[in-house]
Amino acid sequence: MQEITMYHYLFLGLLLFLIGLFGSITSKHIIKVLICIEFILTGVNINFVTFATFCDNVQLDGFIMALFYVAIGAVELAVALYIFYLMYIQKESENIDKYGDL
Amino acid sequence: MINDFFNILLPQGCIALFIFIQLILAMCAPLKCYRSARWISAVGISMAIMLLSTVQTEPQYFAFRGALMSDSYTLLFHFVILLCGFFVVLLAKNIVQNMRQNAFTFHALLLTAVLGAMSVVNSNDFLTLFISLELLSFPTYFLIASAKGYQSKEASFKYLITNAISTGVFLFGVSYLYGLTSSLNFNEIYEIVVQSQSSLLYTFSVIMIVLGLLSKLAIYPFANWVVDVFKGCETSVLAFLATIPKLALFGILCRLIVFALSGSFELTFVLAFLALFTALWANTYAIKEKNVKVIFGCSSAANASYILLAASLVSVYNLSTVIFYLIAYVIMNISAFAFLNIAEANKVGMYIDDFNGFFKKNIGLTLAYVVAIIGLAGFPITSGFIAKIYLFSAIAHSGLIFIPFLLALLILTVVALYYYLKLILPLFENVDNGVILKVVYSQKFVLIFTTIITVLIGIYPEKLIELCRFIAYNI
Amino acid sequence: MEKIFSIPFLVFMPMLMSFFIMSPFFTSNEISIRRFAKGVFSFHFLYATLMLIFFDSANPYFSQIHLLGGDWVQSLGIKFAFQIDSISIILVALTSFIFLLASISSKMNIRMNHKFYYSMMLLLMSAILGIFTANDMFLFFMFWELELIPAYFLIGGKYSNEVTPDAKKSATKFVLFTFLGSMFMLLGILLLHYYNYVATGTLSATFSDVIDSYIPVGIQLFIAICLIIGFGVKLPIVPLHTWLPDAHTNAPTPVSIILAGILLKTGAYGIYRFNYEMMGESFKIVAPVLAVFAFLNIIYIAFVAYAQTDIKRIVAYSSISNMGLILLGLCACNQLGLSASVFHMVAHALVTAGLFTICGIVYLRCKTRDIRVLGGIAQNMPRLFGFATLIVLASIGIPVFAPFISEILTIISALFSDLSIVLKITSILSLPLLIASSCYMLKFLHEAFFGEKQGCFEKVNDISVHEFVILASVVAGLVLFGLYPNAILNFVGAI
Repeated sequence: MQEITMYHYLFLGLLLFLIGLFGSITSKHIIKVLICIEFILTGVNINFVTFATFCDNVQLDGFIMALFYVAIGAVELAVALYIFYLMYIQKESENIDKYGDL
Repeated sequence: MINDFFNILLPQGCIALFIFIQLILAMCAPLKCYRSARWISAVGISMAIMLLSTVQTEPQYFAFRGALMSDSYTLLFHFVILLCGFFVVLLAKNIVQNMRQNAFTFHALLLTAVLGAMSVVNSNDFLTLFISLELLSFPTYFLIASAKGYQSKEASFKYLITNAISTGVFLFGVSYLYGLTSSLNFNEIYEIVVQSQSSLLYTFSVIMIVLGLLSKLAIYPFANWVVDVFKGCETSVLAFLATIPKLALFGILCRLIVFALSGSFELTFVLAFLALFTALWANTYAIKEKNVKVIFGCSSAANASYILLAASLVSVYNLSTVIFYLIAYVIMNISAFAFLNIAEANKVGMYIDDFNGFFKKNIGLTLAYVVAIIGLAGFPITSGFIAKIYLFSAIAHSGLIFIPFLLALLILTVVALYYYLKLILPLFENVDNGVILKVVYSQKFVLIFTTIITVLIGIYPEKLIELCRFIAYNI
Repeated sequence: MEKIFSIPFLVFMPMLMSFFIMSPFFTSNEISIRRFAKGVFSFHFLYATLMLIFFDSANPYFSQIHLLGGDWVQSLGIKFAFQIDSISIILVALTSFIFLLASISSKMNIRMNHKFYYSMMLLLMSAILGIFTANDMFLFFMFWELELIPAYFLIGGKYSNEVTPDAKKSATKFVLFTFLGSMFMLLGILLLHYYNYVATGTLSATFSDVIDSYIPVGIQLFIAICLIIGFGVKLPIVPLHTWLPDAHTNAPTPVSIILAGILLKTGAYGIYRFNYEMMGESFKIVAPVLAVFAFLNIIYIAFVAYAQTDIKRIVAYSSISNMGLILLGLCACNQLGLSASVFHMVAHALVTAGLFTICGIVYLRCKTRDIRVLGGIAQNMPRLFGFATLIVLASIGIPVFAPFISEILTIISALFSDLSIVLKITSILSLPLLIASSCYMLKFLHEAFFGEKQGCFEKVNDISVHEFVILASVVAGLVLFGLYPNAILNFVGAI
């Protein structure tokens, strides 16, 4: 078996990012959109951690960035769910097409 | 660290203190004191403006081992952001009256957003930038959603999703840049970029970073939120949304383009094309629109695209142009939104036809509004005229290849004039509307003050232009 | 002269008076507003005439405002500089005169919204004076843009109880069209400014500082074309003239007088200043093409005008035709052509003022402008008929009056210009067509005034004192310049 180099991790990160990007733009279900945003978050975090492990020898900024992004991503998700809840009271639907008032 | 605090962070610390005061008051203040929330915010912001004089700018100052930096460029942006925040606080009367028990929270959120905007301009490090951006946007989601009714929630949700996706894109670019240079600090990245040639991966990461940042400015890939969000917002929140994120983002974008992202020249063309598409989209979308707020949304997107075109052509001259246009645009926008705020407080609807015949009974207010709108369109005796000429001359000075862009922008300015005229012409109809707008002193003050500044800068722009050049030179 | 007369006062006094009238301090009494405005216009005319009399051709007058010790926008080299040379002073005096005539005519035609109307008139006057006296490209552009808003409100506003449903639409068309042209002009100015900076190293936008000979030829041509498109929307060059008939027809009479009398001349003045003076080399290349367009102006419009049924529209088309003649004079690129076109600017302004006043009087009395319905007015209004005959004969080119001189001089200058064979051909071809253009004017006179009296015009009054004053001064001016053209020609420095 070949060695798992940095490029494998980067490819994984890219893949997750692209899945998340595509899914968040084209999904019809709001929860799917939110989960795809989390996919983007995961992909980016994998990138950061990979670079921090393999390239950065001095300050290990990447780990700190990944940590912060996880925390802030969680807050973002919480806010999104709250606002979705406020919307859901009115419309009672998770389909993004039903929310076309504006 | 105490040293850092007193050298850079005193104004931000003051705002943070007032955020805490607002939060504590939110928990324990009696309900009938809700009016004091506004004045506490206003006092906080004015104290912060006064404390700006203590910030060290002469030799550039780096705090927290390079995470924050401060020089005259950031000082100017802080001043303008705080000034806009002050005006927004003065305008935020109706929304607070509608939700009395949340008045303190609303103002705490507003102050947090202002704090975030200030920190964005100060940041010298991608981590700080990211945190400050989120600090700027989270309160904005709640501010947008705080108006009564379902539409504001939907607007806030759309804004949130767009922002979340664009933050992801932005950080993706940052991660590749981090991989290439093994550092998140702007200065260190700049040193490495200067020494090495640009590679494809660098260009790709730079483009991703910039795309992610451009979403708040309503540039093409992420432009669609403008229409919906501006429709669903309250006017005082709109005044905030149209001015402060733009200031913060253009502040940091200019710094990035000049320094850390300067290694790729494809960036210039990408930005130029994006600016052109945005201007095309925004100006043509607004032709058929009947909702005043949506027209303002399209106008803010169009103006952001003009500034972006100038910002993408990197040079000292262009940067002073960008700063001047930003300041002029922000003041004119606040003037226009002050009028809309007055209209909304008097229960006037927000469609073009609802403004029929205002000129007969409210001459002064209408004239102030007309000055703001024709300033945005670029007519003389307003700062908008000088700003447009300055901006277009900067683009003309940048070389032959941008002449088609300039020509396209000029033609789109004509299209923009069409919808700006659509906004002000109903005011002069001969219908006897009979609406006498009741104005509160704070709203009147904002309107008159910003109108006077607009006309003053239009007649005598020299001092401001010198200031912008000085700052751009020192960046 | 420099000590007594001040150009900034000339330009900005109407603007200040305009803001004063708009402000809440001023009364809303109709009569006092009208008297105040007439007082301002008369004083201004006196001032401009005095400037004209004391003007010394060898010593053109420059003036520059230093705002708090610096230029206007120092970083771009834009100065608040004014200048008046021999051509400008004529046009400035003409502007004052035409506005005075328009203000006299406003008494009859304006019934509502007086405050707003006079305020916009004064603002428009200030803008036009600024165009004629600016010495700096960006200042010129600023005044060019400044005139759009007052012009919009003057054309599209509601000043009397008649219903003109198209007024707003034609005003919007006017503003958007002119703005589009001025954006092209802005592009030309920006490029000129930049390339001048590159070539000479000085960042300045003043007319005298811009030397065009160092700019590469391709760029020069591009700038020249951009500028010409910008000016060509105003001085209507044929493809870009579609705003004019609507705007002139749907505007109230005094506004039509100002539009046709002065606003079109700003386009011609712009071509003179920018293309003829500043960019002379490229103008020599462009002039034959422009001459063909001028020729199109003259003939195409003559044919279109013959088929019109609205008397105001006929007069509007005749304006386009005459402006074509002015353009032909400019394209000849010699001193005779230049003086001929300036002379025709003055003559045509007077003729158009008279013609629009006549149309306005007819419309006020007979409530219709349709030439198929009108007829036999001469029997009821003999004085109007007398003036109308004189003015129509003047516009055709009968020798006693001024336009005869300018038409002949334009044709001769185009014939004798050594620029290109195209000019000679166009001049030879336009001579018989000028005669053809008299067809529609005579048709206008014939249909409206001669013939059987139509029944509905029984009880119309003849012209009143104000209208008499306007028409008499127009005819007097035409005769004066027709018999003594040297008054203007020597001023400009002919032959």
